[in-house]
Amino acid sequence: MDLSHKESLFPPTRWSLLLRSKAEVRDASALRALGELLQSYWQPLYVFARRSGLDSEDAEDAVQSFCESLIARESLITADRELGRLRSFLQSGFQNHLRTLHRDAQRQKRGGGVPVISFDDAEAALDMHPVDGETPDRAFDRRWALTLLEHVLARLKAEFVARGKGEAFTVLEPALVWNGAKMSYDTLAVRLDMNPAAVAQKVKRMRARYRELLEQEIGDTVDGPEAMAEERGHLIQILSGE
Amino acid sequence: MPENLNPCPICQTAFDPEKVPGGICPRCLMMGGADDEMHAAAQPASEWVPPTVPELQAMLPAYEILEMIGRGGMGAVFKARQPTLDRIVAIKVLPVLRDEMGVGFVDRFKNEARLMARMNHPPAPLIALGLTVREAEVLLWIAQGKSNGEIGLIISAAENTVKKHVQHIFEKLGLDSRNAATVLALEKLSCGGEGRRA
Repeated sequence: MDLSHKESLFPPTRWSLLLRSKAEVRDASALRALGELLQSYWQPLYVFARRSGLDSEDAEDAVQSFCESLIARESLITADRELGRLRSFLQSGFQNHLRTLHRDAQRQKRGGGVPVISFDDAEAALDMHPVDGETPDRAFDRRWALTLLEHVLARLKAEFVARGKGEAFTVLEPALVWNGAKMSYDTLAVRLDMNPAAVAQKVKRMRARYRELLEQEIGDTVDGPEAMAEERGHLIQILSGE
Repeated sequence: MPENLNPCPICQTAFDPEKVPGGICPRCLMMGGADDEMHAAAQPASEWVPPTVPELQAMLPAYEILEMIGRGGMGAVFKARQPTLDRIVAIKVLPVLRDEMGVGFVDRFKNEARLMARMNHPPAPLIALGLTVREAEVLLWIAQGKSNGEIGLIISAAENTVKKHVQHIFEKLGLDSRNAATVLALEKLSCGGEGRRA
């Protein structure tokens, strides 16, 4: 999986802040933030559309028009507790959007200006091979969870690269989930030309930073710490079932 | 495209390394990663289900299992009756140990058991005779009629080591037989007030 996301994918956006800002005061920066959030999480929407039976072109159009309508709509985000999670908000909104599209039985005209989403090689990047009996909802959720993890890993990698430690990251990344059967500090130490104790320390620090970023990333998609714990539980559950 | 699913060695969730970020088990990643010490903690406590009373009864026919009196993520304690000695005992049941949980956990458990054994037989009055803790322990077991070999098993020491301890005990206390040692130990323990008459 390609993890070379652009830096701009990781803006300090917070779903909760967007929720609380009033429509009248929602300024250009809030809209830009929303656009960036959508750019980060278009893949689950795309998977949902494809699993719902749309071909790749229609799926792109549907995602694009949905995101445009979100940004264009004045009353987009009301401080509704139901909308506490970006994931649920997008999923239910997109489902409605697909229904509307279907009813209109015609492609939505794209709004003027720059498209919100740039679909980078959408089909190639995604696992489009349907798993038996996987519903569009489940496919969406699973893609969501994986996309979120991709973002976290990419942010972690970006931090390593910024310190000139890109190669160390490549070696150490698998150690985030330590597998004693496959790895040892000794072999990692040889690859990094360091002593094993220093490697162990490095792995520990990397894992701690990873956890911080993971919490931040989930936190950016929900409203409040309680919702965050719930959301994380839900994401773990999503990833548990195969 | 054929699915290339492998179970994660840590959480057993099947995943295709080609299709997940970093090729790493996504569930473990969502749990916050895992290190060698964390594996046990990373498992939800609910994953280990202690046996029911009838199940445990089937495993331990020598006891009469009465009830579960407590449980946690790392074990459960049952109240039971030991008919041969007509006494109530507590039975601690541990989850089957995973490799990742390591020896540390088992050692802690053994230490706990050892400590409890010492609490039951406080050798303080024997230490007061000028013996080391270890010698006091050995003397205690001599007083219980145990052979050097048996004492070695109980205190996890070689028989020769026990023999050395016994020699030192005899020298320090000016004794020449196990019987004499037993009598002295019983005297001291009953006078000490804290110890039980064996």
